[in-house]
Amino acid sequence: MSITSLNFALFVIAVVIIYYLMPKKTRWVVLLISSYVFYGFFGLKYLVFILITTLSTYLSASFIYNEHIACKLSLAKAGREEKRVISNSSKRKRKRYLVFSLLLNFGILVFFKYFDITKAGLFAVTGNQAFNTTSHLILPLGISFYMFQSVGYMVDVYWGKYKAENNIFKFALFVSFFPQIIQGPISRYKDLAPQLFEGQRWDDETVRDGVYSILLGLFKKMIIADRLAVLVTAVIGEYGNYSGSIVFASMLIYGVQIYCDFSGGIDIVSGVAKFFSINLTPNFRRPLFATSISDFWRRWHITLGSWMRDYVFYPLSLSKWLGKLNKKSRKELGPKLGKLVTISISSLIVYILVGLWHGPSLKYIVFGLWHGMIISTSLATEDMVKSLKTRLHIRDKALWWRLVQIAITTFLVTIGRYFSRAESLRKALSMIKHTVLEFNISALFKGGFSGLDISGGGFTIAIAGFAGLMAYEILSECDISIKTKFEKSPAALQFVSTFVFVCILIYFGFYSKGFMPREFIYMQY
Amino acid sequence: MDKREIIVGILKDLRPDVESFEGKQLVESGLLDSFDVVSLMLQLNEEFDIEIGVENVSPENFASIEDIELLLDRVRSESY
Repeated sequence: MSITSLNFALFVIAVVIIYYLMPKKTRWVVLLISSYVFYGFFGLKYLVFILITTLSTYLSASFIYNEHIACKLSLAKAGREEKRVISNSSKRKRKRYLVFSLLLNFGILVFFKYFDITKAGLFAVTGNQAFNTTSHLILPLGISFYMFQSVGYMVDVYWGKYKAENNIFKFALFVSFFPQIIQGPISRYKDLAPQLFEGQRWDDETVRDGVYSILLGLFKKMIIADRLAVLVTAVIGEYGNYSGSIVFASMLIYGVQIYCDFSGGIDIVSGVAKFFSINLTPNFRRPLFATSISDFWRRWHITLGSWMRDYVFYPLSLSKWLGKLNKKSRKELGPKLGKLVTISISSLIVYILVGLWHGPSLKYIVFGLWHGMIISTSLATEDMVKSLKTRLHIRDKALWWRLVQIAITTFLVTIGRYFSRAESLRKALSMIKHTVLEFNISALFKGGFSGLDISGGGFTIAIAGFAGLMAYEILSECDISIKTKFEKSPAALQFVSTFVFVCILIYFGFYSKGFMPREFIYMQY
Repeated sequence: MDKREIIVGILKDLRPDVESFEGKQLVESGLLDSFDVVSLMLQLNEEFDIEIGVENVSPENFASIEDIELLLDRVRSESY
């Protein structure tokens, strides 16, 4: 059931009606049942895996929390020497529960994501025919999202940030909440759980915001992303037939496509959540305006970035062995350069993991390395760039400088997209080589895209839609709220403009010639 | 040097503009990023011979110099 389908709309309407008909105390049960029904639509076999994750993380977190409490009670009664023994023994027990659950959950993830590639690797090394088969395992839908969310909760309980959830059914809802289960965002327990369990009241303003969010999401997905996909697929599929400049332009367009596809999906699910007065964590903040790669990751897939920061980067950077290395490198290389050594190692590992999160392919490792290396390099050259800027009298807030930064960031992100979009690492490298050696800029201005099968003026509609979206985002970037201005306008104008917008969506999104709806790209992760 | 001076010294070393910062949200405001937080924690561990665990990483614990002082006191009192 696609979230842009009529079936999904009817499903949401039915759930909303039942939700508000039920007493407040039991409303979370409606969300739980509907979440499992929704997930079950995609295949009952997937339910097994979400149940394993739910049960294992629930039990581990409960054991960990109970151990925390028992330890605190014992510490209160113990003498100083005894305290150390009690504390260390409790830490060991908690760690055992955590490690067991982490191994189980990531074991499932690794099994499904990396089974075939591991077999291929073993076949290449050993030549054993038993490994020369493809198992065609189907990845449980949304597994990378709901598993990260559950593991984040468990680690937070382990760190003593909050107490474990008592009610397994409530916890099951936190893991499976239907709007976000397929492609995120990856929520934190403290942000999402209270909203889910509270039994919300209908709120006109929040529901209206939800409708706006859904309309924006549909616009991004159906007017822009799905149309641009036609062009991108055509060029990337036969890149050898096009000049390098056309291939590069297509990769730039792919950046717009994937942004509108992913953020459009997030806008839709966030809008649906608002029907239950639930605010999901924002996952995007106008990433096309990023002024550096670090800034890009603060704006793009924010919940994955913050998950990696909190549960991988910090633990790794503050681990004993990196702590020792930090001390040593600062002593030998000086405080400035020395601290960069460990931070760069952690960053590289984090971005390789971000790459691997997308899939079991070398191309994703290189994608992660590319981003990690740029961030490490920018950290190492930070002081040099600063002094150069001072010498050249460049102000950070100068518009021209910001535009230069955006252009450089867009270029670097686009190079990274060669790896994520191409079928394999070899294809990505070949595409880059072709782009450089056959660049021929004039092809872009001599109807380079003509001859592509973009019927019904699809590309023109997408570009017009993108121009509208950019105008909206530029104003938002300048802290000008279109929503506030819109709500202050006369009611008749609001009604007419919403009606026109919906008509545009219906016509160009469902009936327009040449339009072909596509699955959301991030559903596959 | 007292505790506060050491903290201010480390912070100034990381971000010289911390001196002119008037807000009370060093992390949330974006003045300190995750790289700075890690460097700050490692240096605090070294200077005060303590072990600030990863569980203490939160914007609230590093919101201001006073919050960092409180964190140090807490970590000291909880180390056995």
